[in-house]
Amino acid sequence: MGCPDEHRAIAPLRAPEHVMRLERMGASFQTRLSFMRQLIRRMRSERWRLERLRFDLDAAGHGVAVYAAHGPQRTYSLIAYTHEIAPEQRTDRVIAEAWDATFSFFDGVPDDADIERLRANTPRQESGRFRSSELTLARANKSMRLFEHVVESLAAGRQPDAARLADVGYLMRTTAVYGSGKFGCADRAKIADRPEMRGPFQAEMLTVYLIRWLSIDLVNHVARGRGGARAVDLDANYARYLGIGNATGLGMAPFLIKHPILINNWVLARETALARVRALPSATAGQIAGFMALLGRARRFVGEWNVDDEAQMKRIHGLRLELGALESWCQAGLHRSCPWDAMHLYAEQAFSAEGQEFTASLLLEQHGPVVDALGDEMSAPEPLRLRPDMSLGELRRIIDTHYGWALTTDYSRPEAVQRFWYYSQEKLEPRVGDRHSEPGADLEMPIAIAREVSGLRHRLLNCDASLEVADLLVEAPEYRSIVWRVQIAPNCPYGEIRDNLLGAGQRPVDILRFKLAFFGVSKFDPKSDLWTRVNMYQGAPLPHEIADRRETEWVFPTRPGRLSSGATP
Amino acid sequence: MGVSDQTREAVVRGDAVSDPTTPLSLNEIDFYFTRAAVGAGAPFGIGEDFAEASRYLAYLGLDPARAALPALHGLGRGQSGTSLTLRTAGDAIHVGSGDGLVLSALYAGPVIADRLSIESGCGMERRLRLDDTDQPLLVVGAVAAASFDAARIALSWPLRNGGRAAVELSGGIATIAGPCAGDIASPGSSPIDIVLNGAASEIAPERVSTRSLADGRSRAVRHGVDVDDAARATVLAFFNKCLVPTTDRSRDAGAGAGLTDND
Repeated sequence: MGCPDEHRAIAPLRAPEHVMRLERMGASFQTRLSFMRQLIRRMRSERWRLERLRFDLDAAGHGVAVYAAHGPQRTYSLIAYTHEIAPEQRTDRVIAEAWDATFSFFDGVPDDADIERLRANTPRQESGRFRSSELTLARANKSMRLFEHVVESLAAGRQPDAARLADVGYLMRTTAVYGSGKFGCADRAKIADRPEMRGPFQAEMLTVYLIRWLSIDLVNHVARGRGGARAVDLDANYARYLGIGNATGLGMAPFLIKHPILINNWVLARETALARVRALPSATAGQIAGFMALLGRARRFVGEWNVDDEAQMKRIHGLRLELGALESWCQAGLHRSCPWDAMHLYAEQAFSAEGQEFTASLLLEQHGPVVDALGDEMSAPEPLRLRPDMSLGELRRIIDTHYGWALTTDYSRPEAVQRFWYYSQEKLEPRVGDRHSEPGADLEMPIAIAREVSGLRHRLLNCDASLEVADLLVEAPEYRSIVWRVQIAPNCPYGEIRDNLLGAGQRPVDILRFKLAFFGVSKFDPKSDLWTRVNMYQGAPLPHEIADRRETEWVFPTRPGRLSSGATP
Repeated sequence: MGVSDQTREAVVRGDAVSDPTTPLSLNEIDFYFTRAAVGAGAPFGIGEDFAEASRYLAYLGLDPARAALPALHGLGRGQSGTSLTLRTAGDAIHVGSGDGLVLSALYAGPVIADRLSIESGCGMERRLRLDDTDQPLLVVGAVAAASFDAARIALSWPLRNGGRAAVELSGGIATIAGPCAGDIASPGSSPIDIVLNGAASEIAPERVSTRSLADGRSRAVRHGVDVDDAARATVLAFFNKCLVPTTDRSRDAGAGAGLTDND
């Protein structure tokens, strides 16, 4: 494997038809470009100060708490309301009506009037009404199997069982984090120009980070209430190992379909980063040592990743073997020219999709200086407008060039359109139905890009190629949305999921994993083809560690083997 | 969920300016208005353009929910037509109905915006005329959304009281003339005259209000868009037509997660 140009700035980008397939997307992993990684890096480099402003909880842990994140220019606050709910009310679904905790993420520091106003709205979630002073709305439930164990342990004066911490990995699990103007909250435009919020989903990521803090404070508080003087606080090493859980369902998929420019920019940044790393001509001894240490940590991390889902567990077993093979390969492979490109090509040739994507994550992880600046390019500008003056011939050429993947399916076959996606009347919960046996297909969401493009291509067969798009849309306005989409395709090669989302056998969970990986989550734990649980911020620095500029990266946390000094075992 | 005549009449009255309002975010206008149009029978792309036009009406200081009602009702009841014809005669372009009905502004707005986009590149004066359209304001919103910075576009239409509404868009500034805000949002179809790159209008200054689209957007982002509660309820009634009624099967198998999760 040679390196044809030692000084080349960039290797070829992976092709969209390779990267944007559901199977590949469903093997995604976080990278250092992921949004929660970007947030933590920024908070550390800017030495954000995190402060608990209010903690009015009764002994059982019910009440209100406020946490503030002070950046260089602005302060953001999480207002948390914690509640007592019955076990039968505890569900991860959108259709839930009650939660252990509900949150509003506030632009600034709330005063008492804000807290009282939100006390009447935030616990109602989708039924509440919010203002542009609120940036997100969220809720979370306790992981009862771990929360109670930790409370009991701490109340009795001992630390919890590390194996049980590792088994669950979080004390609370968020079940929705709404932003971008939902229910009257601030539009994205309000914060999009702020340096700290310019990156995608930074408000949502900060919300979740502060919820993690609350979950740790909450377990300590309840343990103290139960154990009195005997109680101890959760050891810092244990607390740092705990992330915040998340249950994600179908709601994420329509977002990805609706924002092709944004998705293109996410993937383009990641692929550009990978290409830059592959183009590096050599690795120093220090870089090799650093990579081997990273790989060792990653192997332990994957070794502790266990799920109930048989298919995913099989993939994890395969990944473990592949990372072992990668370690062996590194003994000689990293000493050659263009070692990172060689590693990438080795993985492409020898590994599963899961192994290939994990290797890509490792490659980026090792090269922050050539990767991190690409994080600034992952947002999207205002969407381009439809071009009515484009000729129908040009439109047809774009389809033929960029949508070949959509034209090979016969959409008259029942199995090609088996599924339809829709919003239920029940709290607008996104759902998937069987077109041939359930009602509602006439109200399906507009996510059938492949079928729509195919229909447009068919319509263009008999059109005069010199006519303009505007002429077509006078006669056939139903193509308006898909025409716009086709027009932006040449500039958004990674903007489309290159599969038929209506087809029988497609796994929506693949789309969820793709998006969650860009968020920066870990420990994917699919519960069906329709939803997954994950862990966020596992291993991330604790609030008091943000400003101390110690270790800058926190990826691949492993089960804590020992307590921090001075803690009670 | 039905959409009553009583509700419609209550919310489109020009003098209903003191009715209760709720601030909507721009995202909510996008989400609910797009699907309200679909609920009324429009394809999704037309719904998206309708929502965008509605946002621009909000930037102009007009209540987009009240403005939406005549068009949603017209489409939903089959009283407004979706088949358009476009004829060019000399320097003038005529947009008419292909089915003999009043033109649906949801459909006419994007067609006019497309045509102006093409014609504005020529730098010449052009005149367009739309036959009776169910809500001229939505055409204004669609044209404003198309953002022809280099062009001056004047739209005008007769009001029921004998007056004439006029809106001129140029360089991101809208000059609006009408007897009162109530009239400009009044129901009733009208033909619309549009002049591209014509001479500056000669509307008496005392009848004119001038609004910046950028300022309007900034205001909407900071504070939301106040919409009449009754009109909002009607928009939501159309939106609800896009939702699939729940069944035991869809509840149990159509979405993620179990019905209780205490682990």
